[in-house]
Amino acid sequence: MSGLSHYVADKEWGYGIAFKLSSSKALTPEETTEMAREAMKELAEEAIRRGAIMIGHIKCILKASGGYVKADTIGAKYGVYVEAKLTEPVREAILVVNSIVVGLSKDENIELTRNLTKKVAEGYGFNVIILETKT
Amino acid sequence: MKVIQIAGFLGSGKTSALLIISRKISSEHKKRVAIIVNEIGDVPVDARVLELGGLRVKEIAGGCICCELSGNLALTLSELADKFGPDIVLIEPTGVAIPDQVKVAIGMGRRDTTIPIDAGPVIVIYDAFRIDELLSNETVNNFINRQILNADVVAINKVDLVDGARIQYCENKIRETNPNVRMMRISALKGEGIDELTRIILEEEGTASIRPGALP
Repeated sequence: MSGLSHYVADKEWGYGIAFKLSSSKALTPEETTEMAREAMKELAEEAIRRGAIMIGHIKCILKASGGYVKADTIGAKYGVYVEAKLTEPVREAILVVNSIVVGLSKDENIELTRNLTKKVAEGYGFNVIILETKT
Repeated sequence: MKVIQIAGFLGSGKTSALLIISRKISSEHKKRVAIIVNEIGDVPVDARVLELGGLRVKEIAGGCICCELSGNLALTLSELADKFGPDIVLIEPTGVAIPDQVKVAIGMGRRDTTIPIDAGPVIVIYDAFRIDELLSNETVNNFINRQILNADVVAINKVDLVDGARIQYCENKIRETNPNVRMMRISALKGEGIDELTRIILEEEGTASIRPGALP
């Protein structure tokens, strides 16, 4: 991997996806914040479990009518940084995740980011629809 | 219009630094700031984060501004100059971009506008918190070293999370790559060192170029 060009890294390491989240039961700001934190932690841990050399940067932003949550990690062992400004419970939100991982195949990063983020959000009671996905 | 790139490897704290510096330049120094963000992944998070901070952000997506989208950067700069007229443009390249190549693209932007564009210093943000992990991988190490070679200033970030010995270790590693580069210590989240970094951005000109021994 030592000869990897920055062009290849740019194309192969990163994946971005946007989800629409909706729920009949509103989540509290604390629950919503915890969901974002958990998604980042789970993605980082699972990427390493699947053979990634290291986490480049996994980050997300959740926007709802009552504000936002942003979370990111450079690896589960370094923790997840979270900043939340939510003033009301969340029924609907847009969640954007950008996962940049070193040493995992592009296809595996795509599959991981889509499915694991969806699973975490569904675990909090959200219905999840993929809005936009680009590589 | 002065153009400054805030480069650095993935997760080093570029967006956090850019956010606090931009606010300081606009609120304390009363200058008009525009931000250009180029992000790996193409469904961007950083631009949205910066916009939430009340900043004017232009996102360039779909590739890297130091190579395949260099023309887009040049066009964006000339459009910003002509339509918005900012005093300062801060560019956040991707974490693997090559600063010297971004400088070339900035130079291309100069040709397409009548408004003078000055290249400011190249700032490279360096992550003190996980330096061992980063340097343990040859590819990542090469990316980081190339950025250091292209830097006017290396800002060692996250100094609030490490001890003095770790910072000294980072400084030694940086010196091994670029003995003459200026270094400073910052915490983008705590605001430490940001006044000095802002002063450098506002007052100093860029000098860095590809130096002998630069990685290909």
